[in-house]
Amino acid sequence: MANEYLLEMNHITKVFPGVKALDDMNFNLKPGEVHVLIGENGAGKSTLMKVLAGAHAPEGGELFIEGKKVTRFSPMEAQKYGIGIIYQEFNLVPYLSVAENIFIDHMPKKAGIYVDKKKMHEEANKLLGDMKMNVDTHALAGDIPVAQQQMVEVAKALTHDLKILIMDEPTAALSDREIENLFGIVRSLTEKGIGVIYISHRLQEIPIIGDRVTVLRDGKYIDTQDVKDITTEELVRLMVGREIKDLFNRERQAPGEVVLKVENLCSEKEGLHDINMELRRGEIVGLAGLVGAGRTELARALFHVDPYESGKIYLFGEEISKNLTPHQVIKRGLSLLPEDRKQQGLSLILSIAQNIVMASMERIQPFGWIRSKIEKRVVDRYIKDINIITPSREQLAGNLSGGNQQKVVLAKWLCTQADIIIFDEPTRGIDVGAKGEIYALMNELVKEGKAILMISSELPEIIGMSDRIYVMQNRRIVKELQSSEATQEVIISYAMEGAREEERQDG
Amino acid sequence: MDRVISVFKRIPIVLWFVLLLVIVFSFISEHYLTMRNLVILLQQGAALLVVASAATFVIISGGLDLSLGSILTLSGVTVALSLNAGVPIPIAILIGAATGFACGAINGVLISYSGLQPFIVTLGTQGVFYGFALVMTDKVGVPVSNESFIFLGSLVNKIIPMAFICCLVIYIFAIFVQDRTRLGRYLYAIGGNMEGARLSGINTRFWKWLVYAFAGFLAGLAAVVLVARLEVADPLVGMKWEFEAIAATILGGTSMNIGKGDVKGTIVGVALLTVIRSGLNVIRIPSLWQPAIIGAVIILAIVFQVGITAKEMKK
Repeated sequence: MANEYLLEMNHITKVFPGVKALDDMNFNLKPGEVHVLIGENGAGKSTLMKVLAGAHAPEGGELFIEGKKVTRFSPMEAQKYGIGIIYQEFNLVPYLSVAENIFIDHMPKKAGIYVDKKKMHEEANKLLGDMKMNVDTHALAGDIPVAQQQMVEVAKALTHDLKILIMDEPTAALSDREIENLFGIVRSLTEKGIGVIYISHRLQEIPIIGDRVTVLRDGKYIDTQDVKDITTEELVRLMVGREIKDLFNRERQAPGEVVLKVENLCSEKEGLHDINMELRRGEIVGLAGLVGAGRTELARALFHVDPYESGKIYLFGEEISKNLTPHQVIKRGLSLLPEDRKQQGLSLILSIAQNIVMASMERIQPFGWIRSKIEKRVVDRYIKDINIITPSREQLAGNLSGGNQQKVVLAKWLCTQADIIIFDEPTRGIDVGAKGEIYALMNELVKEGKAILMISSELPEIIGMSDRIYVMQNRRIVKELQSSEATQEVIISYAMEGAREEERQDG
Repeated sequence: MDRVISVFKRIPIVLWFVLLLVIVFSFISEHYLTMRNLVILLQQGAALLVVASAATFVIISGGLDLSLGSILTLSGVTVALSLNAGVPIPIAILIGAATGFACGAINGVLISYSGLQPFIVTLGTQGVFYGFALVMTDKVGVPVSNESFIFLGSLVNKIIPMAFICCLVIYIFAIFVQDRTRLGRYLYAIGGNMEGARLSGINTRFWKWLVYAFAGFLAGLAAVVLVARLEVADPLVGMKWEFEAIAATILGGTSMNIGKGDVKGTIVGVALLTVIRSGLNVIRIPSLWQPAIIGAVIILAIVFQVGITAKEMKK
C-alpha cells in the first residue's frame, strides 16, 4: 500500500486575495500512468501544477511524494523530489545552444570549474537520440522549431532523476505528426515508470494518451475516472456542471441597424483568420472561446491597437481605414474595455476623476487647458450614475475594489460617448454583487440603443447576456449561435473542437 | 495641536534638511543668514529651478533627459550671439527658447518615433549640442553688454533678484502646464502606464515627443535668464546641470519609471542643492573638494528620499 501512488494530494487549499484558487483538492498519480487534468479556464489546473512545482505553497492540505510528506515548497525541493515541468511557454534560453539548455543547471564540469563541452554535447546527443530526435545540439535553442524546443524541454527534465513529469498543454502548438511523435515519447517515459500529469484542452486527445482523467471546476475537485469508462459528452458535462443563476436580467429587444461589420479580416501577426461578423444597435453579442482562441486579438484589431493586413471594418456603414489609430477609432464611436483592468484599463496611481476623463479629454476640454469645474461635473455625474462607491473623486483608482475599478473603466468609456462598446472579460475577478451591477448597466446601455460585443470565458455569462454568440477556436470564428440554441455543452464543444468538425464537414 | 503636527508632517523631509543646513551654516558664519546673502542664493538657484522643472516633466513621463545642460549652453550661446548681432531683445529671447525647443524636439523624435532608449539618445545629443556651442563660440565666452537685457538677470538695487523673479514666473507657468493642461495629464498617463494610455486613445508618440520638446523649451528660457545674470554665454556653463536637475527632481519626491511626481516638489530639491553649494563656500571648503562633497551629499540625500518615496508607495 505504502507506495501505490507516486503522488498524493489530499485536501489541498490555495487562496489568492479574493479567490479560492484550489478548494479541498484531491489528486493522485500512479507510477507509469498518464493522468489527464481537464477543466475550463480558471478551474485551477495551473495553480495545482504550480503547487506541485513548488512555485506556490498551499495554505492547507497534505502533499505526499512516494509516501513522504512534503513540508517545504520551493522549485528546488520539487526538483529534488524528481518533479519536472514543461510549461506552455518554454523556458529555454534562446541564445544558448540546445546542449547548454538541456544541462543549464548542472553542466558537466572538468576539473571542477570548466564546462566539459565535449561530454555535454555527447550526453545531450544521447538523450535526444533515445527520444529518436534528430536535433543538432550545437544549434541555438531559439533557432529550432517549436516541436523540437519542446523535446529539448523534455530532455532537460530527463537530466534529473525524473519521477513525475507535468506537461501543460504540450500539443497546443504542434502539428498532427509532431503530436504523434510526442505521444510516442510520453509512452516511452511511462514504460520507465515515470508518472505523467497531462493538462489539455483537447478532449479528443484524452482517449489516445490518457489512462485516468480528473476534472476540476472553479478550483474544486469534481471527479476522477478511468479514461476507458467515460465518454467525451460526460466529460463536458462534468466540466461545465453548474447551473445558470438568475444573475442576468436581460430584457431582449429587436435589434436595430448594423453598426459594426467585419469582412474577411486577417492578421498575419496575430494569426486571425478570415473573420466575418456584425453587430447591431440594441444587441449584446457574445464572443466565446478558450484562452488563446484569438478573442482579445480580434478586439484589439477592431480597435486598431494591433494591425491587420486585409479585410474590411465598417463603422455605422462606413468603411474605415486600416491605418487609423485608437485615438481616431474612439472619435468614431468605438470603445474597448480591455481585459487587464490594472495594466491596461486604468492608471492605478491616478485619481478616479483623472481616469474617468482620460479618454475624453479632447471632448471635455477642447481648448487644451483644463477647466476643473466642467471636469468635476462630468466626473460626479458618472460616479453617481453608475454607483462607484468611493469617499471622493480624488481617490486613487488603485485603492478601489475590483468591482469599483471596473465601474471606473466603464465610466471612462461611457464618457467618450461611444455607441459600440467591446467588453473584454467584463466581470473577471469581481464579486457577484458587482457582477450583477455590471450586467444591469450593460442591459441599460443596449436599451439606450448602444451595441455591445462581449468577450467572456464564463459560459453562464455569455449565455445569460448575449443575443447572439460567436464561438472562436484557433483564431477563427467557427460558429454563430442564437441565444436560444446556446448551451454550455454546445459552446464548449465548438470552442474545443470546432475547427475539426468544420474540416470534417468540408472534407 | 494635532493640526499643527499634521502640518509639520506634510513638510517634506528634504525641506527639514534644508533648514537644518541653513541653521548650521548660519552658526558657522554670521554673514550667512543675511538678506544680502539670501537674495544671492535666490539668484544662484533660479536657473536650476527651471532646468530641474524640465527634468521633472521628462522623468514623470517615464523618460530621462541627459542633454538639458547642453541645451542650456547652446541656447545661451544663440541668445548672446543674437544680441551681439543687434537683434531686438524679445526676438533674442524667442531665439533662445526656440533653440531649446528645437533641441528637445530632436530628442523627442529620436526617442518617441524611433523607439530608442532616452538614456542613449540624450547622452548622444548632450555631446552634439555641447559641440555646436563650442564651434559657435570657439570655446570662448560670449560677453553680453545690452543693459536692458542684463536687467532681466540682475540684482536691482542689490535687493530685487530679477533672475529669481523671472525664473519663478517660468516655474509657475510649468506648474500650470502640469496641473491644468492636457500635456500635464497625459504626462502622468504615459509615465504610469504607457499601454493603458495608448488604449485610452492618447497619441502617446506625439505627447512623448512634446514632453521632450517642452523640456528643451524650458531649458532655453533658463538659458536666457542665466546669460542675463552672468552677462556672458559661457560654452562650458552647462556642465553637470543635467545631474543636478535630475537630483533636484528626485529630492523633490518624483520617482523614476512609475509616473509619479510633481514639479511643485522640485523646488525643495533645488533649494537643498543651492544651500549646500553656498554653504561650502561659507565654511571655506577648498573649491577642488567641492564637487566630490556635493556629489556625495546629493547621493546621501537621494538615498533618504528614495526610501521615503518607496514607503509612501506601499501605503
